[in-house]
Amino acid sequence: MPANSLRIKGSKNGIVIEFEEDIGQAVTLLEDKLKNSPAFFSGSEAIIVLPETFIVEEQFLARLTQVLANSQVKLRELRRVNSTTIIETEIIKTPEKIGVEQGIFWVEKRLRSGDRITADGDLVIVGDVNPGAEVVATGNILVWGNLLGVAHAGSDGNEKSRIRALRLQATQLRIGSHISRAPDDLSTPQGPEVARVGPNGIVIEAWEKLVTEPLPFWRRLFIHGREVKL
Amino acid sequence: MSGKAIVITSGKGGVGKTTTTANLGAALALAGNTVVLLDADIGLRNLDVVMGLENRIVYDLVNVVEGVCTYNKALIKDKRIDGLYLLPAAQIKDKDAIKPEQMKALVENIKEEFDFVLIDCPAGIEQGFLNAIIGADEAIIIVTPEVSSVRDADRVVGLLDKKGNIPLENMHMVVNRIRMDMVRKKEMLDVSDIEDLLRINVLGVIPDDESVIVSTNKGEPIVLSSKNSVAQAFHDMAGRVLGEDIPFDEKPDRSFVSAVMRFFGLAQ
Ligand SMILES: Nc1ncnc2c1ncn2[C@@H]1O[C@H](COP(=O)(O)OP(=O)(O)OP(=O)(O)O)[C@@H](O)[C@H]1O
Ligand SMILES: [Mg+2]
Repeated sequence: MPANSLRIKGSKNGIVIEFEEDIGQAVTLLEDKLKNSPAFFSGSEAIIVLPETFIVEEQFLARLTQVLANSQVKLRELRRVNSTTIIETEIIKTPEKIGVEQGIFWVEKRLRSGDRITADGDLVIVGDVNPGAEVVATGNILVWGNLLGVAHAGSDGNEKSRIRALRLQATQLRIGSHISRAPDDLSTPQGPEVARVGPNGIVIEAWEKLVTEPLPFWRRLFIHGREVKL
Repeated sequence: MSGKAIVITSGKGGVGKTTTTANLGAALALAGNTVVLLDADIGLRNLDVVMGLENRIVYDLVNVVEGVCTYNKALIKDKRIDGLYLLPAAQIKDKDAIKPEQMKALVENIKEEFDFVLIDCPAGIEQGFLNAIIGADEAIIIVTPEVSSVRDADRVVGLLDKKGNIPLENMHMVVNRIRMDMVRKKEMLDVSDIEDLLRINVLGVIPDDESVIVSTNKGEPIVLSSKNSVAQAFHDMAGRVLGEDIPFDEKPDRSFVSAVMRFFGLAQ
């Protein structure tokens, strides 16, 4: 039923394209539609809505971005049908800088005040998260840089989630339903740290193992898809 | 020939955009360049007042965009400095009187005939901001050494990156109203603290000084009326815009010597 695998609606924020179960077919159908009325779509922004259970993979993302780019449509947001945002691409200008591997979202970008990234799964930021920026993930969060803004791991309730950063000086940390704000004395952390939920709320500890690892190790681990433990 | 369009913007309002537009423009013109100061702060224009050119306004930016006159006709020539012109904003029309495409086309046009177009951006991040940044090749972000100002500047850098098509390497920051005495006592953010967060190149550091208010009220750019540290900071900034490698001097502004000189009227 190809006609049903895709629904396109206009909205204030751009065109909303809703995919149903057969994603492969939907992308092909979308490609045809875009090609058939280039004048209508060209220059617009798209919000892609995916079925709840669909697992986003890098390959899919690459194909989707390609199909949209061919018709001068900008991917503005990727989200699930129940409206949890997966990626807001407005934050990430170049699609090469976002990726998904083994369910881990990684973003290479300095996040500035007002930026917000939400990930359905584990989230890795290569760059600083400045004060006023926010990173939210249903899984773990790793910031390869300074975490100065707000981070919320386990956003749908997973209290086993962790937040790691090379410099963990967040305005506020949240794990599951626990909240901890920056201490008033603003001491500078000595090295990479990890936050987790302990018996009395969020605790922050040295992230010892990582200190001994050289930086490229981490990137090999993620980008070339080896087993990842956040 | 095609000149360069630079938007002077900030996150927080009242941090010195208009002051910087006027003085950087004057300094660039004094260095032999042709410069148009474009006031994009529609409804709250005051670049004309700071420049002391208010009483010569006949046409304004909205008239030009609406095709009432050519931009050349609306330009006010500054009689004190060769090569310096002002394109005033409209005071009564509302901010939506101009569309981004119109602004972009206008800036392109002016760039054909002048070395620099400095665009004085309105405060905030709404339509007026978008209009002001759309035609710019480069951006100068003014920040004062306060946490809230830096935070808002960070947001603007992000927005410029996303909406303005201005690459990060073409964004520069100017730290305005710095007081070295307070920095030394660690009561004020240092330039390097701000740099750490914004991660864009520093184009200038301007001391906090009453002479700025005096010159604003007189309607005379400080680079014309004075040789003090503020004027020097603007000349240095202009030099850097022109590609010169001018070192930053972190020397205190209110030193004993300058206080004595001020007392004897040898400096302002
Ligand atoms: N370095 C300085 N030392 C002392 N006063 C200053 C300095 N720079 C600016 N000021 C004063 O601060 C006030 C605001 O400056 P200005 O109008 O240039 O800011 P602005 O960013 O253009 O404001 P707006 O957002 O309202 O357009 C003015 O009264 C000005 O004289
Ligand atoms: Mg102003």
